Amino acid sequence: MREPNAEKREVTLLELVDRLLDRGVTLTGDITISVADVDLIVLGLRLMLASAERMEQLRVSGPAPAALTGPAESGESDDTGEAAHG
Amino acid sequence: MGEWNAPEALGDTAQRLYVYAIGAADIAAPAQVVGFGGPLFVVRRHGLGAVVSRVRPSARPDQRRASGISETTDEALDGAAPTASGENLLRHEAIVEAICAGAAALPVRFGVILPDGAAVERALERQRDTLRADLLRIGDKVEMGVIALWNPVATQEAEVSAEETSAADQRAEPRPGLAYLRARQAQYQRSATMRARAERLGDALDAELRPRPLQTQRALCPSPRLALRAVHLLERAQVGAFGEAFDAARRRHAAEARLLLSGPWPPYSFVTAQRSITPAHASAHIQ
Repeated sequence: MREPNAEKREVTLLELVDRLLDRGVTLTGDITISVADVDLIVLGLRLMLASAERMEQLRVSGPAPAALTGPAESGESDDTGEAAHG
Repeated sequence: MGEWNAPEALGDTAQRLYVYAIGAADIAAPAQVVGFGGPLFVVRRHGLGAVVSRVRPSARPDQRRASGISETTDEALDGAAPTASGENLLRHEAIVEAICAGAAALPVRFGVILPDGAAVERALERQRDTLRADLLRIGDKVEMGVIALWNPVATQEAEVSAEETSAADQRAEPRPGLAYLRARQAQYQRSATMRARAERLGDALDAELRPRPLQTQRALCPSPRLALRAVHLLERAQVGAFGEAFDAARRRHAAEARLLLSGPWPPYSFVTAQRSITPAHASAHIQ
């Protein structure tokens, strides 16, 4: 049984990932994003790390900073990683 | 030329600038907040200011070993460009929130690193009209995220309905080709049913959530478990009242979906999208 707060935290973290990796201001130019210490690969920025799905694969974990309210009584796993971008 | 008075000597070409937020020229770096790699400072150009810190390019594992840097060394301590770990994403967010708390500012996406102050100035100059317009439009606003997760009963009803239709069709026409097409038809019917439900739920929420957001973005059924994801642009002072309206809506729709609210966030989702990114200039370390 998953703790309710853990579910809230995961949802918030996915919201965080969705915003920080796929939204916000981008400055054209020389942009380097280091996801892991592996070889440099040249990619189009918007093709790279396009959503929270990617971060799901990276298995991010940790506390979330933003407030989150809502029921979390269920212990089941929620598929909130499939982000949509409006 | 613009101004970018770094707190340290500027001659270190091995270091780059990590950008957190963009505001008006009088934006100040929060004094108590330390960025990736060191102190925050501001690069100014054309009436705009970019809050940045100085980082070193990330070393590859073999380079880190050769230089004696531990695999577990904290990037904040060794000054390396941050990798996209959960910890670093949270830290980026905390820094951006601290900047936005002190002045109108636009949040910059995680991982935007430019070679030097001159490159930041060029970027500000290149996008000055868009950035200025965005600052006026959303610089002092916040966004709230709403997620609606289907309750299992709601999804089961649609599945049962579609399966009953498919089974009845298969009894009448047992040929395999037709069975495949009918299965596809059932799948389409299921999707259409859920999408129609999601749209009704979204419309109801739009009518119930007050104060009315300045702007809303909404995605219906982005995954089988999600009815919708929405993000609402609000005045900062409206967040409390919006949360109360959300609580009432959450209770009202509890039988159909579980509603989750997150925020307030800096207005990441409402900045004007870049029309073009030059792929040759974008690079990444991918795991």
